[in-house]
Amino acid sequence: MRKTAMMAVAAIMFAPLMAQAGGPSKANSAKAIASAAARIKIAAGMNDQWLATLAAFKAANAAQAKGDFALAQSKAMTAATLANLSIQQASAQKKLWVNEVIK
Amino acid sequence: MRLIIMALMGASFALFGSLASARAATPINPQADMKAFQGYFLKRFPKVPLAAYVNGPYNFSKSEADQWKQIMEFPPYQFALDTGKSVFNTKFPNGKDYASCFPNGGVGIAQNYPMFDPKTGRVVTLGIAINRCRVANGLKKLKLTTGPMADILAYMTSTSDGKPINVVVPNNPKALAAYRAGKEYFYSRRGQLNFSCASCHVQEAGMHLRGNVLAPALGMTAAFPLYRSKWGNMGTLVRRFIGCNKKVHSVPAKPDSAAYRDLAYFLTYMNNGLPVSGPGARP
Repeated sequence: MRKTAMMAVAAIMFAPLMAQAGGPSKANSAKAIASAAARIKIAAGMNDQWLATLAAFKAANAAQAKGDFALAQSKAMTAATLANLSIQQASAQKKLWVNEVIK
Repeated sequence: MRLIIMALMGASFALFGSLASARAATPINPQADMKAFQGYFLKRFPKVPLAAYVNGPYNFSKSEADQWKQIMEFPPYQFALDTGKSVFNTKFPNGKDYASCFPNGGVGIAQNYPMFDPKTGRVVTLGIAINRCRVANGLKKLKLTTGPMADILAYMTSTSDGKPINVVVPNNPKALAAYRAGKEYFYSRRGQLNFSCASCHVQEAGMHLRGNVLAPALGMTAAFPLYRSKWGNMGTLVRRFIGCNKKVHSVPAKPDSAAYRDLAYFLTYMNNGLPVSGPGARP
């Protein structure tokens, strides 16, 4: 029951993303990789890049080179999601860090 | 499942961001920060005298302190210290030496670093000053994390042993901005684990993280460079920064980056008045 509910939530949340990305093809995975690269660049500019982001991005590129476009697209989307999270983290911390300061 | 967790994490960052207070515009007052910083630890650990903070985790674990005392009968950094002295005193191909680049011949000056360079508007750590000296004399820069750089730093730091740390933040907008940037870096959470430097070295200082005692941020910079048993060789403060970043699953900054320079500036300033105690030895 719980698993089904989680899958339903995931399907609703990521349906637009998947639809936007399209099915696995060389062009779509390349597009997903380019999109991830752009998010990664932004995260780097904010000095908040995650190791897992780069690992996923590297895996996406490796899969793309091997012709496994489904895996490449999946890994690229993971990299983009992780990069987005780190961007959100960095943005939030711009205001939040003061709350941790010793006073 | 993983994607759901990611989505929830994102939502939590956004929520907390929207709840942030408007304290970001607090004026920069390094002196007051230092007083509060040192006062926090002294109040939290009343049995640990201020000067003893340079001994880091050994204040909080008798077994580790006992082992350390035994280790120090034959300090593991001694080879690095000897090598560093030898390298420091070796002439460059142009006939000059390291001593020519520093006030007082480079002896007894480590306590003043990092310092602000008004010419470049940037913070200069002792490691970066050593590399500047090398470049000015036609040599390549050394790696800032370990190896010969750590050896030279070990020697130079040893000549300041016991001297009170005396980092200055001049009343210069760029210096104050660098100090503030270092402070922000120290307290900002980063990495996939969402930890700040302060998470471990302020909030959890003195506690155990698995088998390790988390050293308090106070006194932390005083013992660098140091020999870590985990590393099996010497490392600089920058090496430690890189290690901490990786531990929270964050991509480290470049060793000579403004981020690490400024972090070292802030953190060492917080230790002003404590005695230099490097090179050191840690588990």
